[in-house]
Amino acid sequence: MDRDRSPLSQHRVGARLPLAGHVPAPFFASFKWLLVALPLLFLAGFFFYPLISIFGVSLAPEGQLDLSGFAEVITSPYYRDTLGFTVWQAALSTLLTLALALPGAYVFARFSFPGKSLLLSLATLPFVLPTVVVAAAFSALIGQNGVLNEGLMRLFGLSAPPIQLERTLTIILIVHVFYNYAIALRIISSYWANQSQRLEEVARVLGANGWRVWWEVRLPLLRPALLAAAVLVFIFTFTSFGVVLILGGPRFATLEVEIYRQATALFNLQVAAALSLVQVGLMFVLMIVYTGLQRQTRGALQSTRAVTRTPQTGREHTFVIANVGLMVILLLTPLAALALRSFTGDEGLTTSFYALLDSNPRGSVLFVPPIEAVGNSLRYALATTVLAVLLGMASAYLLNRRGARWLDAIFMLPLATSAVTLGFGFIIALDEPPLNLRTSAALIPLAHTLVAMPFVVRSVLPALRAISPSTRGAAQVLGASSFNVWRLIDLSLISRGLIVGATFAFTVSMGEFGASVFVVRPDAPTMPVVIFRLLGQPGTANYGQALAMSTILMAVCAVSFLLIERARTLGIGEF
Amino acid sequence: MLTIKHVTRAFGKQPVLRGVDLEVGQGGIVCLLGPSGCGKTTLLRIVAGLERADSGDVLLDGHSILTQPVHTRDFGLMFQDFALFPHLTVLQNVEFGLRMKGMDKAARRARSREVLELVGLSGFETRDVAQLSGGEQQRVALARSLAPNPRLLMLDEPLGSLDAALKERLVVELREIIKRVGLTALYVTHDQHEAFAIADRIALMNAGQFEQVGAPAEVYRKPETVFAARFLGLNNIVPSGTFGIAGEGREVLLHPDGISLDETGKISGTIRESVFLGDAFRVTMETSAGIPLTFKVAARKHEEMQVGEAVRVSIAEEYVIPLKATAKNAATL
Repeated sequence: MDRDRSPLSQHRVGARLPLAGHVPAPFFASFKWLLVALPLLFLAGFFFYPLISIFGVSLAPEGQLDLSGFAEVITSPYYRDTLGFTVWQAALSTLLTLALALPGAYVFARFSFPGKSLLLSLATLPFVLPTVVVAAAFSALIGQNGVLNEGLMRLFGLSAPPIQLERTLTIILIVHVFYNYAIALRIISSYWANQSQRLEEVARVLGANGWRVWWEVRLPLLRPALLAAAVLVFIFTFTSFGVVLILGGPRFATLEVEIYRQATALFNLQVAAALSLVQVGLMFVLMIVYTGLQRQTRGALQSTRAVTRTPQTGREHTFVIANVGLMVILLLTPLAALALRSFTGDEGLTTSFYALLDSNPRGSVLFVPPIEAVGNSLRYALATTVLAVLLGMASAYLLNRRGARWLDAIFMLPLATSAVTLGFGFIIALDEPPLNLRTSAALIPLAHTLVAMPFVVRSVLPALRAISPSTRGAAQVLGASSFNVWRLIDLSLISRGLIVGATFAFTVSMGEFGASVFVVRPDAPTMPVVIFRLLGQPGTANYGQALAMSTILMAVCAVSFLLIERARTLGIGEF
Repeated sequence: MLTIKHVTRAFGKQPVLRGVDLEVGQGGIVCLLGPSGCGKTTLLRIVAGLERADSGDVLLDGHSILTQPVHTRDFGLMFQDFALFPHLTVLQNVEFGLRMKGMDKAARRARSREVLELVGLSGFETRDVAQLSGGEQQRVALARSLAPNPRLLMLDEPLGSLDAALKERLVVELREIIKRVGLTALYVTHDQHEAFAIADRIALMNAGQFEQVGAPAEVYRKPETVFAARFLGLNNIVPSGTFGIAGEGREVLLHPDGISLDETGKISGTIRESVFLGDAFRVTMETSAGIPLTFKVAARKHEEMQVGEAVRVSIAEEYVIPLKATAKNAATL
């Protein structure tokens, strides 16, 4: 046989057997420059460029350094108050969330009971729900015309709704707890579950009674997790936008809301940009603090898996039931109320609000029936998913090389930047050549991709890292071309991660609000934007339609979320 | 001092303790010895109050402590994984129990120093526990449990995570310290060598019941049941009447300590295996009756025996031990 022409000759076994440490050239080696360039180009054009434009507008609007806008922001009592309020409500929300989540975390760390994992999944659902949906849900539950008020009025024969929480700080806090309860619970309880119960047992034998065990042993040992959860919740509530905008009303403004108002209502771009700067700076500091704490919680204690047991004494039963009850009431009743209200008209149950979504009641030529927003959202979401998956996969390959930790941080930055800042950056940066996209429908998927890409990376990267080079090498020795190696080995091993990432991207896009309000075209709105508009208009028909659309969006997000959760429990991804 | 009366415990449908009775006298060290899953740790935890009993009673000096809360029992407890408080220094760990008792600072410091000296760790007060070696951590754990002068010291496989050489040294030291302080102790282990070294009495456990309770020498020399013999590695169990050796009961143990090479011996066979142990050979022979027997032969007295060599042995009468069948419901090894 002619050695040079046999099929195996290109893989001359003696010369190119994969040795330990020798990585056979992967499929993308020939497109290496493309691999590196695409995601970085994307980030450069659609993240850093807008961000720098914001810097520019705030510090040098006319081309020369002009710190007056910046100075105004820092010195004016109005903006200082806004910053103060932002910090204040975030601190309160954090304290409240932790206080409620701590006993819940204990229940999850120590006890087992029927429905535990389902409850945990459902409890995390709020986190992925769009803010407009949550706002609609709470207004359906405890608003003026909400389920609770109506029920109480009927029950006690009252003439005015007893619960008046709309546009108060209280409702903002409640919704913040709703959003972040599960995050805090998961962080604390997984850290707790890894702590040896022996420490508590030793403390008890040595004479510590119930509360001393908490004070001397449990809480001090939980400190890293408590701090990490606190900082994370603080970050989320600090950057809260939709909740404050919709439920807080005109009286309340966090930094994000102020940026939005200054940019879109008052056209005061320089001030808006300056506020964005302050926001980005503070976020940066907080993220550094958080990642530092996260490192601590990873390796702190010997990880002896604590055995969970069923509650035994009456006290334990009560404790478990009380916390489970709190979770159900806090986290599930607003969603149930939303769905219920969307079907409730003046004469009882009806689907009229859903029917209205498809109609154009005044016959206006320019009016777009809300139902079209569903199609828009779906189209944008699909585009986002494709973009995010491709770019995310390329990024994951890029990050899989050694020495890429700083790259890792860069790719996570969009996640750390608020959506409002991203949207704002788009409208001030992308309205001139070479990137004049201001009227383009492409802005939305681009903005969404920025937010969604890190999720794809975080889902694919661990799977990629787990592929050993010798697996690829084995395939090559057996005669597979580079492309086939990629197709048969890489793709099948990361496919689950890709699916999870794709589902994340889809869900994020469907519910995205903060950036969308900036860049959406009036004639092609997304579902969250339509809901926002409908909520702002008077009348039961508009309100009913808002609830109907919110219920649809909630259902879509819930289904995607449950799919992601199922895949996650199979051990995919880093979250 | 401590009386355990017919304690039972089941986890769900699985019985773990089937009714155990035990007396531990003041100043005595009793060892609960048995394979994993026999219930020894559960029994210890019931005595400590960390586990409840389904039925039965635990009495201290005649008074039932079954429902007494854990933190009022005034016991000491040591775990296999040390369970030192990672957020406290050595000194703070040791004085924890004293702090719970309300002792003032000066008295605490003095007592802690005393105990640290007792375990050989003077000068370690300000050290961070994460930086200590396994043996040092174990000593800190011991000091911590001794400091409040407990009425009873419980040890749950305290040497389990240490290497063999350290274990051998520490088990002797442990016994010394316990005796010096005059403590009553309950020691749990699956390692018979540890048990022999530390105990005044051994309670051999199997599947939730005591198979045999007695002094180490007695248990080793005269195991009472088939399980006991097998657990201790004494495997020369033959039906009564084999080799013309009569015994009471259905099976007898031909104790290896009593088997010696004898040209005129009644038992003949061929060498199947000979393992060099350093100071001896462990020899397994296949007897003419088809039953294998294992015994030791001092290395300095004999040359290595060859596999296949014909040999005769005899056994002294007092080393023929009658065995009861293993207790009902017990697992077979």
